[in-house]
Amino acid sequence: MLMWTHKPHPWFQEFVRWSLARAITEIDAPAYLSRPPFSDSIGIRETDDDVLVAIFGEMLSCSLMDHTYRLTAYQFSLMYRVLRWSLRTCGRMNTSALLQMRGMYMPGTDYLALCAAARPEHAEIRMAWDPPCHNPRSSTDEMAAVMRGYRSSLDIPTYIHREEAH
Amino acid sequence: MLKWAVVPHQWFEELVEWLLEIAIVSCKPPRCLREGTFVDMLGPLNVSEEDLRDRCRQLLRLSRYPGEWYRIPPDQLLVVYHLLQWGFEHLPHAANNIVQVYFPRGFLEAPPSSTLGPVPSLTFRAGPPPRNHTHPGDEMERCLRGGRDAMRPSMDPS
Repeated sequence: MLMWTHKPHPWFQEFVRWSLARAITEIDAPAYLSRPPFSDSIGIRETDDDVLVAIFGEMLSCSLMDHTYRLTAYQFSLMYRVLRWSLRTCGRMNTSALLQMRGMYMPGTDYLALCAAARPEHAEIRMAWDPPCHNPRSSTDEMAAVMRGYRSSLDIPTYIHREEAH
Repeated sequence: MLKWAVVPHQWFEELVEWLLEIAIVSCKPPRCLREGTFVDMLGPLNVSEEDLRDRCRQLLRLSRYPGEWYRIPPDQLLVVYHLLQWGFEHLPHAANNIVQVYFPRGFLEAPPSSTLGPVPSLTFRAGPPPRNHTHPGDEMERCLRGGRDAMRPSMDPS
């Protein structure tokens, strides 16, 4: 599995894996269709699609393993953008859901600024020896809260709201 | 390999395989997104997502099996037809152009029933299809003229 800030519930792991698989498939489009680069779709200009697909593939395979693997900050920033793309392109773009997933599971960083400055580090997924923090929420309640946008029931750091407002 | 009306050019095989891959992924959405299904988006296909996934996996597997040709049952042709229509939703003539080249003659005039039977458990080997005398580039251009830009920019169902 991937090392999130809290132990991930199955519904979130499913969503992450599905989003990564969709992104990989999207990048695999026949070249003659001349589609815009996927990197443009998620707003990453400094990384080629070939590199992205390698990173996504690695993240996907690590997410399926029993051991826990730690992502770099850059990989987290890509993950954030893939989840955002996934929600948007399946007609569920719900800023509240994205913010809550981020607040629950991702380290507190300014991901939009980070992507502009960082470079891919796809070889740097490392095994983590310590498990993620205990997740005190029930899976059902958490999923309902995130997908229905009941933001008030969960604590979201205020800097995330500020960042998303831009 | 799948037995189309003529020996498929690579561009067409790539397109079909890619659409099948999309369908396979899309047919198993995570539980948090279970409202509305990929099958609904494909139009009048009376099939469950699980069945559609199995069908697409079967087609994809056989399409990648080298050296043998497999006849495509009418039910399965209908699945590919709907995938093409979905992929080229904004330029339906591209999907129809492809059908004219690669599907059995008369398919558009009398498509199979949209009520699909059970997933075919048997696959039928067949002899090779007739040679394809059209140049791949010309064929692709004729089928997709104006269609590349119209292809869905993503798997956006909206």
